[in-house]
Amino acid sequence: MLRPAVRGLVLLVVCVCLSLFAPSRAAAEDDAQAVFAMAADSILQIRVVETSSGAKALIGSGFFVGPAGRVVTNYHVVSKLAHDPGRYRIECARHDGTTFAATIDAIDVVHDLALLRSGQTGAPALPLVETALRQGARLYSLGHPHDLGLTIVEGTFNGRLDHSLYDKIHFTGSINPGMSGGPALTAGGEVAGVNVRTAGNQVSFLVPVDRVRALLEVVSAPAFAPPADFLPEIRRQLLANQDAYFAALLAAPLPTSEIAPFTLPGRIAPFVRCWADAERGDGLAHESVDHTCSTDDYVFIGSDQVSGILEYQHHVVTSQKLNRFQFFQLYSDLFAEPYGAFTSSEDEVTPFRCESSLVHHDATELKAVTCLRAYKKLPDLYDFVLRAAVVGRPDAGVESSLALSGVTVENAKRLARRYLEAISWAR
Amino acid sequence: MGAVTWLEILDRRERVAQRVRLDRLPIEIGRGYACDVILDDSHVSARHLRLALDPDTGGVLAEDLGSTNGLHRLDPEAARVARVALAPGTRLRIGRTIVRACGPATEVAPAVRERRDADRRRLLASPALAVPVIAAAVGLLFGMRYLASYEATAVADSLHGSVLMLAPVAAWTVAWALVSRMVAQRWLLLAHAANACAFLAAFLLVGAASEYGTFLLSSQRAVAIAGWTALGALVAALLNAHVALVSSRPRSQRWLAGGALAIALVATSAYLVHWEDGRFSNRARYPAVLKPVPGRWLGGESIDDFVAGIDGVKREVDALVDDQG
Repeated sequence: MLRPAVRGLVLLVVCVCLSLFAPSRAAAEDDAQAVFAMAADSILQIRVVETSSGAKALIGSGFFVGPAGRVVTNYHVVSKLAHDPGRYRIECARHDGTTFAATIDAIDVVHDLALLRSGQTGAPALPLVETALRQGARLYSLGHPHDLGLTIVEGTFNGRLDHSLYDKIHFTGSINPGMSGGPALTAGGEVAGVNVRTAGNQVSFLVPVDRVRALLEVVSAPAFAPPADFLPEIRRQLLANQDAYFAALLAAPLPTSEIAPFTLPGRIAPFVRCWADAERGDGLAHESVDHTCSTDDYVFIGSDQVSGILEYQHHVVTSQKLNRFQFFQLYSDLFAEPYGAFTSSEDEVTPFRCESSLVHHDATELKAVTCLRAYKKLPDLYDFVLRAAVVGRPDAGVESSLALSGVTVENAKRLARRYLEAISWAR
Repeated sequence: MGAVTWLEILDRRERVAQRVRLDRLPIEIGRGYACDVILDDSHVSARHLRLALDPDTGGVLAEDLGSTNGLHRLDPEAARVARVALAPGTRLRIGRTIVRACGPATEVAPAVRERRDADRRRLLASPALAVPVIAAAVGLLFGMRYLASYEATAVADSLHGSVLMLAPVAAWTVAWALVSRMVAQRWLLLAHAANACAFLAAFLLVGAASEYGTFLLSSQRAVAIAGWTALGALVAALLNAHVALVSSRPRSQRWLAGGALAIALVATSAYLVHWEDGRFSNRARYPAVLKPVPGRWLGGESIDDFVAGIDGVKREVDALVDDQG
């Protein structure tokens, strides 16, 4: 029980603290209200409607940009239309409930953007931010989460992702389904990025506005006409994307790192993130060290196909306690565990086909397997898996696997060669 | 040319259906009950053929009795005739029946040597052979399970696994013993158990050989064909061995039946496995077998050759796109 005098003092301190914070919170509330009032008329709900039933197949958000009444949204919001234009149409709904139709003008499948043509010339467009933002800058993300009506979410700008293969802004704030394609605005009402994805717990991602500018440039070219079929365009962009990152990847021999008793591919590109773990203990008859590396991000192609992932792992296993047959049974079981984050449907890709062989290189014997499957609607693009196990010793082995999605066979072959060359017994 | 003393009546597959001794002539052959030799052939007339002594030569003369389908000489070339003189070896056709003239000098095939199947069966049923076979198979099973387990509880694991595999073997043995009891009035439990165990041991060895083949060879198709063929042969041998204990059917029939059943079983299993492999999956299926073969014994190809092989896989998946597109 506190004495009354002390209790009074505590109350006083609390009141002083609250009064110190009150003005800034009020300012933030004012900002949010001002941003909402300023932008509400420019922000749309994007509905992808199934033509025959007239029912909504998918909803997202979008906003007017530029003078010609063009609408920016995410590619993944309108991807159904890009794949099957005969079956779907796009309906845009303003904050006041009025609706109008739109068609796709251009897409950037790698950065998940689409530019729609609406014919709403003179619509209130949002300006794109011109200056670089500083970490901690307040941003307001707007959109239609879960079809609940236009919503504003406050958060902070936390810079561009350093390690991502696909350029993204890290936004600390809650982006929820339905807000995809909506803008994240500065306090001045300028677009800083386009809502695209969330990793949960306020970790969200935005597409930087330079990508929107690049798309606007594409459609403002004098000879521009939207393609009748977007699949060739999706294919072209995916091929160009993988060519670009493979050129960087293959510019020099792969860096290696030593995980005794092996030398193995290390962190082969700045855009992969690596993790390691080890298992040792008296209860175990073997010791193992895991090393996994992967891109953080992926490219959304359609509702049942993602691509653009590069991942690899090393699983080094040694044992002093097991005899050679027992050790190789353990080793075979490790080699049999599936590898690769592949999630496409039978409509999009063929089944995998594999070849296996014993490979000899640099005093190292490998059992190597490659598997391939083709993208049915996007010629020259494949998913690829390389699995290699160093054999020849009765008490040590490494199972090393590489998985690539959405690559050409030529690039897969080049990387597979470099990857296998980087695997050997440590000197 | 000797005298004709016997007639062989052959069916359509030229198997002897009836033999007739020519101790009096003339005789008549036909479907009617007035004949001396009656044939159950609907293409033969009631009175079809008459055999009589040729007064000029003293030989036997065959004569058509005005039959519906006539008398046909088959040698030297087939021809319809009204009458023909018979010599040993002469073949005639009436309706769908073949009549062959034979004499004392007509040759017959040498005797088939008697088989000693019965002795072999007794050998298998004797504990002196059956018990070592069973012990060897159980030992092999346990040993292989032990070498395939790598947890700290390897011995307990391999015992557990072995018992699980022995249960169907025991059930199979008991089923065959029951069949034996019903058909041959003997249980022959030990002999059936020895059969099943010999199969189990061979099955384990074929499995191990096929794993080494999978590891060492690139052509998985060849390994699969060899494996399935070996399995088929083993199943045929197993079925044959069990049937030999139960029935006294000739060996050729047993192998034929066992072989047919084995082919059916193995073909069905191979088809099911192939069908499972052909189903769409986001998971790549490949032979994940690694074996403790010393490095110096392994002759691998170069990385360049291996990578060049990816083009073959590309052609395979491209063909799948074309097939389904």
